[in-house]
Amino acid sequence: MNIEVIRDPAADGQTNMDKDRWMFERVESGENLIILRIYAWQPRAISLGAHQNIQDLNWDLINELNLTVVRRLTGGGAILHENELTYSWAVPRAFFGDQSVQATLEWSSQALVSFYQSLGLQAQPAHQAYQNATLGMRTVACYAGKERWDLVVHGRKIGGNAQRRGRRAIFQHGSIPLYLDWELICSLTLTPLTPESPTCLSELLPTPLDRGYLEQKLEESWRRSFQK
Amino acid sequence: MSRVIKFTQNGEWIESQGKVRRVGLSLQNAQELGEVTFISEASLGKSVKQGEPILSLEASKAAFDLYAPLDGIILGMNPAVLNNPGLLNSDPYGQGWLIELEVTGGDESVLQVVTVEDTTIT
Repeated sequence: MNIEVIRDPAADGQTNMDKDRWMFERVESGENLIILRIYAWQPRAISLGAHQNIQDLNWDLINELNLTVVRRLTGGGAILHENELTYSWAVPRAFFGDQSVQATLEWSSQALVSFYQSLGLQAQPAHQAYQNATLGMRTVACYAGKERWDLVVHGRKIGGNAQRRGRRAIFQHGSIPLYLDWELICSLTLTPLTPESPTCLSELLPTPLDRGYLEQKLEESWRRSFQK
Repeated sequence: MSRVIKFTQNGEWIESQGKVRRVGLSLQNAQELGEVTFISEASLGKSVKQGEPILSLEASKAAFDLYAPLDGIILGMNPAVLNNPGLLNSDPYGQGWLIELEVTGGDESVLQVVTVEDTTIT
């Protein structure tokens, strides 16, 4: 199946979400191709899950920081998009056959494990890393939650992913933080600050890597997975 | 007592309840998607075409729509699932039904018919 790759320059939140919707609708309307997009956010913005309650957020702080808040097509919790690699893809349902949501999340987690491996990092799914923890609890902040196929490096969650499933298309959005201000995210999402925090690439890599290099590695990992 | 339930390829089910038909989400779909945490309200009185989205749902890792299994008019929605979306997972063919539809048309031949003796449908 053909893969169309879009490497977008940084854009504002609404522009980014509009482009994600455009990708989803192209495949949902019957285009038989895979669309992969890698992009960034400028200025920073918060995205909420498709049906997340806006009352979940600290609006005084959002207004004080003049942040925009947008909605993703996908499920899941709130993300502050700032200094991150963001990807999305839209794939015909036929590509996955009759695989379940969990199976497609497992498949995508393997693609992301391969991305982290290319950077010298060993990532593993949360259900392997947290064998005695309760997974799947709904949280306001995406990075505070632990789902079965979330990825963990050195015991700490990295990034987040969620899907939108249409009649003909499956769409997935994901964020991989380069830097993370966990205290700020907790304040914005009214999430209690706990000793256990998520991690980001700048904490894991011995030296900062060029964004273009990281985007290339991410694209290669997805391409390999789509072509298997 | 036997029940005749029809399924769409997408995993919706529809069953006659007197003059109206009840519509819900199959157990297989509910299990695949994980715990359903949100269900939007359907537009009562709205005419819908077969395959058109009726309402939105969200599970832990995926947002998705429920599609009209046939043409019809949305007559009602189950208030119990709005208060407790988890009914879609625990009792999808009973208390977890979603909407009541007055069927006005559509192609029933595309639906898969399942006849069962009770509600133990898997």
